[in-house]
Amino acid sequence: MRQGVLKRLLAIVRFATDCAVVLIFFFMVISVVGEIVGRTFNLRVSNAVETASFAQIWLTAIGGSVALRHGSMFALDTLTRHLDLRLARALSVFIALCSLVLVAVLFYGGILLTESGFRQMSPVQQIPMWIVFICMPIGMTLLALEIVLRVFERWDDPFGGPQEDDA
Amino acid sequence: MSTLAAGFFFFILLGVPVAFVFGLAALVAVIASDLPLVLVAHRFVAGLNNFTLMAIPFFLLTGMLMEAGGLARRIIAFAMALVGWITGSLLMVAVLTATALAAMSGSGSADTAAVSSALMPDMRRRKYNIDFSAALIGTAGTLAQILPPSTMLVLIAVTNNLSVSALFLGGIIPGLLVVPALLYLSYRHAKKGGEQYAASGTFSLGEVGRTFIQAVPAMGLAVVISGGIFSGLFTPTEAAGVAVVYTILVGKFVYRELKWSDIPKVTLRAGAISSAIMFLVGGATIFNWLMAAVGVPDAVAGWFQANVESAWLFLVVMNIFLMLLGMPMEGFAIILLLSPIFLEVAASYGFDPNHIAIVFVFNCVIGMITPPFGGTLFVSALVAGRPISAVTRKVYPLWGVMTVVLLLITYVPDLVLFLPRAAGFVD
Amino acid sequence: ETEFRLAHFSPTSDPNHVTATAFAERVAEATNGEYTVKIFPSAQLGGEVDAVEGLLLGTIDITMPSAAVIANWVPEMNVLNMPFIFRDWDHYTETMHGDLLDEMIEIAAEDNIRVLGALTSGARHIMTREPLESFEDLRGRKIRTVQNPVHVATFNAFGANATAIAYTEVYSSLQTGVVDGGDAANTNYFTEKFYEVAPNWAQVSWLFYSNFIIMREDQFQQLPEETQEALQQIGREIGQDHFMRYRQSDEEKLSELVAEGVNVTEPERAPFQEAAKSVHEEFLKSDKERELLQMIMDQ
Ligand code: NA
Ligand code: NA
Repeated sequence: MRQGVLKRLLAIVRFATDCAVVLIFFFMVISVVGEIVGRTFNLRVSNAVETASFAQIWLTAIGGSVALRHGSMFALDTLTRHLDLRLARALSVFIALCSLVLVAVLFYGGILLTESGFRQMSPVQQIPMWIVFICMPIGMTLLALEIVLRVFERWDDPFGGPQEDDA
Repeated sequence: MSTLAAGFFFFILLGVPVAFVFGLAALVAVIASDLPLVLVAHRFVAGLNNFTLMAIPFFLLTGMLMEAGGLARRIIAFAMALVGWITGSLLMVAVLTATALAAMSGSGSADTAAVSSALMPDMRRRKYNIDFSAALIGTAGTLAQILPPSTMLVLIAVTNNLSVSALFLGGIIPGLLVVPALLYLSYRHAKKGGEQYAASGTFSLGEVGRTFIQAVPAMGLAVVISGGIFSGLFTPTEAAGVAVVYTILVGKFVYRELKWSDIPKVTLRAGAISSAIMFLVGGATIFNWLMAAVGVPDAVAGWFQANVESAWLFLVVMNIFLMLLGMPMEGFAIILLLSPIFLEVAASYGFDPNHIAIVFVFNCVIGMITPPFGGTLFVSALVAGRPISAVTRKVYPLWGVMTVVLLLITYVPDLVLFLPRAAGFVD
Repeated sequence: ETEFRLAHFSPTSDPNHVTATAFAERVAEATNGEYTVKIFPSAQLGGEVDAVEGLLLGTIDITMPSAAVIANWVPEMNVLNMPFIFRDWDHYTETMHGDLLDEMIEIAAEDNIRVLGALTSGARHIMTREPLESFEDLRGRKIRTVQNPVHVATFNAFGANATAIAYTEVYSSLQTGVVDGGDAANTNYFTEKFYEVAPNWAQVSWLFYSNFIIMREDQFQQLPEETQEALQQIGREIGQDHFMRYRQSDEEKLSELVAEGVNVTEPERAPFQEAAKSVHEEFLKSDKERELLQMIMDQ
């Protein structure tokens, strides 16, 4: 029963992440096009060069977990495709650990950036920068979750090659 | 430096996702130095805080929407009606589409993303060799950085105090030299391939007319992009945003194939792929910061002064060096770090800086298809859903013809300088 | 022995690099090689905002960003962004190396930034596709500005439509007419060849663009006292030399521009100055900021 709750929780987190990625992407498109419209008709709209770039950082940080889940994160398979199952499992754990070390460092740095972001304003619109930097701790938490889950989900065929993405 | 390189090859061969490899190699180097660990996250974020980069997710989404909204299908139908009688026609369609897009876009990855997500499904349906197709599109996609507008040409001009106009004109002939070579390789591949590459019907003028009318709203995208850029309505990066909106409107209201529910689905997929690409960019940004911090640029200048005496030998060495560097490094970083050194050394040998700048960028462009870090190859492999090693195996002949063109423009400076000279930018 | 990483954003041909080099030489000399400075030019270690972030995070030791960028951490620096606060080069030079510098050192220290010296990137003018003869000619024109709220408000107050364009896209945007013009100093107008696509150059000097050579305050405080004094002294002196060198190069660039066939105009400044007053009122909120403005105007 507890497993059922965890599964549902995971589904909610994943759905929320997907929604966030889509909304951020829409925001980037709309703010860039809005800027063109504003400039063309001499309206003074907000600055897309800044906000859309910030959105791009958010998209990357949050989208990393989606990319891993969809098999969009590439790896060289020169070594991995020749391994038997036992070695492949061991290697997949090792690769996950390496990835987790990087993700942890990005998480830690993201916390420091967020902290210093309380004292820093964005150049154009004077947005407090922690609003941008906080995407790193959030995104890296989600990514760490997917890295761990990936090892379990692909335990019986750790390097089955990228799945066809039929979304 | 050696820590960086060793870390890089260790992690990449191990099979760590490439998106993480740059970051990990840099992390090892940071730990080995006295630099604070926060550098890793800071450079990662700084690398992504870049407006011009946004053309990549936008053109990626455009390409996928063109597919979902029926735009791609109609352009392909028209192109097939036009050249379907040639063996391996879809490959040629890919090369020509990439060339056309290159004249509108300044980013190799964006160009590759648009062409591959538009044409790949059809290539798969027709059972084309997907690895070769991906390698071909990745190679053709690099034309975006040679043919104007090009973000690399702007960068090298700004970094070295050269005229952007002169370099834009200088890129045209080298870019156009690549096109027939790629067309020829496509034809040769198809000839050696099987049934699937055969002509898919006979030529009919009526069919050409019918598919043309159907394709007009889709091809209008090219008019909107280039018309918008050249009439001064928007910048190349903004044009990518406009392309997204235009594609949605045509797919939804003209062809009526795009359902509202498709849009978030397609956007999520484009978002995931963009994120994978951007992880790479962020990682490369950390990596390149460290290269600069340990003084790789100075070491290069010193080496040339000590070891190379003849001017033509200098060009040989420069090309070899840049090609090797193009394996792991990303073009923008190479331009920022090394173009000032090379252009200065080249000037002391008496070469025209505009000529050397184009040769330099052409090297960076070849770097985009040189393993292990081939920017456009990664994009086309990602979209094709194929392992990078499989796509890489098919790239060598394509890489070969690019190298031949490189040699041509290196040793026949007029190929580069003719147009800028004719326009009065170069003496 | 300690090596400082000094990051700046100009090519090695720029006066900024000459100044950085002078700073490095004199620091090594004054401390008998105990402290050395390694220079990273051309934004090799990142852009201006990145560099200040890196400075505060400890990845860069010394950098030379503009007052506009430092203002993201030290709001009072925004005073130096205000349009038409300096009358001319003489007034500007004198003020920046007088009491104002001491004030800035004190204020920035509270935000963990140690100002070592005051530098400049010259007077800023307006480049346009069509000739700009007077204030009126600017009305409704799309002008690309530095991405800073004061710059944006200033050009809107001038009657133009301040437009955001990434710096790398300025050249092509001028070429195709996405924007009608932009703001620049003689130096970057010349070196980035903006005159090829915007050949009209209106000398309005609406802003003297200042930058500072800075390090992190807590890092500075950990240095031995005599080193602190030496750094501060050298910072001031290279700042003064830098102003002279920059002013000279600014004038040389202008004559080179004239030789290139650029149409140099000098619109009447009064209407610009009048419009600028609303910007001062809008942005200088605190008493401290108004006090600093007064201090500059009274000099
Ligand atoms: Na292009
Ligand atoms: Na490469």
